[in-house]
Amino acid sequence: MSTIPQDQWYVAAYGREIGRELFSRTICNESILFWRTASGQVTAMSDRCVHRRFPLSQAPTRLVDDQVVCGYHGFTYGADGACVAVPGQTRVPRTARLRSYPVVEQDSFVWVFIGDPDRADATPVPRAPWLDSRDWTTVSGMEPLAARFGLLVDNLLDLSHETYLHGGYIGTPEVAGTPITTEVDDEAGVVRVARHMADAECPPFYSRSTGLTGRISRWQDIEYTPPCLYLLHSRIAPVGSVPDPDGTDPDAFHVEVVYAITPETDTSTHDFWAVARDFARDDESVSDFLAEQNRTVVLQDVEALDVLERVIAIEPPGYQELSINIDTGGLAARRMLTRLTQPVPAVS
Amino acid sequence: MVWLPGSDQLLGRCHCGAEHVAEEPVEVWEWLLAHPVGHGTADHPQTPELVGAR
Ligand code: FES
Ligand SMILES: [Fe+2]
Ligand SMILES: [Zn+2]
Repeated sequence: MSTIPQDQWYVAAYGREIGRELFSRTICNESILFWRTASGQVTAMSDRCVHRRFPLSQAPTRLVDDQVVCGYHGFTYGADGACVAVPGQTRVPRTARLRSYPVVEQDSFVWVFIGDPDRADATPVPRAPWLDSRDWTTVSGMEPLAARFGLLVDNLLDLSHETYLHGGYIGTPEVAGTPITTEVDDEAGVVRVARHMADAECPPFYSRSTGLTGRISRWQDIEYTPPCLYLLHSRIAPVGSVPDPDGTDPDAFHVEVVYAITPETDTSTHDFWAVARDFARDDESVSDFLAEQNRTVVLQDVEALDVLERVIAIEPPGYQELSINIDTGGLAARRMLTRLTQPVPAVS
Repeated sequence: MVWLPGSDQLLGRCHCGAEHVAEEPVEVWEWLLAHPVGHGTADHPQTPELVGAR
């Protein structure tokens, strides 16, 4: 059985990736065609022609106004996926319709609903409002991961790995050395992991971007909303500085690190990453630096997890992992994911 | 679940208020998930300000 939760919203793309060109991406084992109508709406439908399953993202298939004309024999589809014309005859078979997917464009992402479309409206789309806010500056990207999405969830829920895998970038000794607090909010469907380092070395990622020299107070507050959206609220400040009682925090630098963890197949993942900041907002050299650094860090994880996937793929069944204190967040996330993969009764 | 400062111990606190201290996380999650089984008495009283400390 697949471990990919159904009836969930997943990030399929950045809005900037989808325009008047036919765009295809596999999400949760489904090959989906995306394009933008003349009025700017993103549409999502199956990337397989109902006739002889020619991929509609494939030339010479083309977009004519708001219709997709299959490049093989000319079946023509509207923005809702319904077939409006077939070659050589006037009658269009009633069942000629591409599966279409609920889509929401929000916070710079294109979200697609995988599962029973009737459940989409009742399922909230998780938010990452910084990514298209005027008050924040964001850099972002996406890296392909040849590993199952659960490995990336494990990775992101336990940031103690920064000390080892990302030393010299974002890792310092204090990350692995500082205890965490983990909280499961079943009602909100969120796992929270907090690690507050009161007096820590400042890694290059933050010293070069904030200009802080010397030791810092570094807070990492994770909020993971299974299955797809991961937020890391990162607060960097001079040692001793805390937010004011009214909630303002003028002496601190804030970075919102966002990941969207979207299964491509059972054993591969789209690793969307974004870094939003509330300082040096017009400084392009800071943007370039953070983008380059974060991409490097993501690729360090990708390299490690690709290896791990290959190990898991060929290991005999029954391997026993050993969990320690740093794994409390990852274990909580796994439990929530397991619950999401359990079948729910059909909507009547 | 709080990793108690200065120790290797984990403190689990259930929504019902019960608490449980153990050495490794699988045991604490199992205890939390077993609610209400075994949640009757706070068998390991802790200083309250640790609970929910972030
Ligand atoms: S496969 Fe598309 S029209 Fe024949
Ligand atoms: Fe990492
Ligand atoms: Zn309880």
